[in-house]
Amino acid sequence: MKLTQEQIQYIDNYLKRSGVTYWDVRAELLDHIASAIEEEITTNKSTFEEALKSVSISFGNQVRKRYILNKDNTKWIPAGTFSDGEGFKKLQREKQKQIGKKNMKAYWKQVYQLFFSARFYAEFILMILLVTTISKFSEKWALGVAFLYLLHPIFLIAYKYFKGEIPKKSLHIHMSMLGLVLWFNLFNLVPNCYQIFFDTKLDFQIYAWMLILLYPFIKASFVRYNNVCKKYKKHYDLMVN
Amino acid sequence: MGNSKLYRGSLHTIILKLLEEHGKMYGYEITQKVKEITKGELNITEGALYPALHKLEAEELLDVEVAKVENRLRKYYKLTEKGSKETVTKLKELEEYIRNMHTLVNAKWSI
Repeated sequence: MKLTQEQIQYIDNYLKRSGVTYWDVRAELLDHIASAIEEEITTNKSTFEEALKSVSISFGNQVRKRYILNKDNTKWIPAGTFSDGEGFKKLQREKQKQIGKKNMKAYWKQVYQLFFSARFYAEFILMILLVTTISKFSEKWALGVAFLYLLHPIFLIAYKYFKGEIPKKSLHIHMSMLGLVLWFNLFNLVPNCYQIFFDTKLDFQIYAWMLILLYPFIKASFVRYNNVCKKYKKHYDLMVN
Repeated sequence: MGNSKLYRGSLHTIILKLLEEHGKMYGYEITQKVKEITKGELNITEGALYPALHKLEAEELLDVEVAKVENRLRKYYKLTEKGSKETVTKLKELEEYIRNMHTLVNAKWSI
């Protein structure tokens, strides 16, 4: 027996309530649960609720009875069951760990590939030329332009995010953002550490070298992030359409 | 079902072998196939299957294909080139392990 759209939606909400917040994790679990329920209903003639309970337990969850207050708030009345979601959450954590490993490998591959890209060299040389030329007039402006040059993809990401071109609540997309955040933190960490140790502000030369040295790694993070977004946008569109 | 601890170490090899034979498969299909082949003797739990699949995917042994089937997304796993090579190695290791275990179990101990 095939499940109806309402039943699929019910399972999706059930997973959300059980703590599976990311749609890309839910999608795989949902297909497994729905297939298992269909099989259970067909072979064992179970009801939808019984089958869902049995499948939920097989994922390592504890299923408990749910009670709600009656209209007068005087008595607790049974209102179906709920899963503690521990089994699902454990799977989500495990997946997160593996995505991290996968991202790390893909990221370094991306860094390596950049060094074989003519476009990357053109952009890199353009940044160095911009910083050195502007620094002759104003070092402050040179740094400002360099940061803008480095950060401009962030504005594109923000624009795409608000336009709905980047799916929200995706574990893969969130994890690929981590690389970017880590690199950008260096621009905060290094000047602060420098000031603590040497009691003076980081001078222009060191800032400029930091920007130049980190450029390929930050660029690779953006490319990786964009690739992950494109891939999971396709999956998301497939799911909602 | 047999002792699941004995099978746990071979789970990756079982998955790789199934995918080598069937091309692409989705999670639930893998559990059902194992149940069918072993006539219900071996039951891969969801809690063991998905971490194994995700680990194999992270190690680039498996590739993923997503399709909309009926009213939901279905994630199919298939072997990568690296995965196909790894399957051969892992199967050889498993066969060797079985042979050694067989020898050990059937050995006539004498003091």
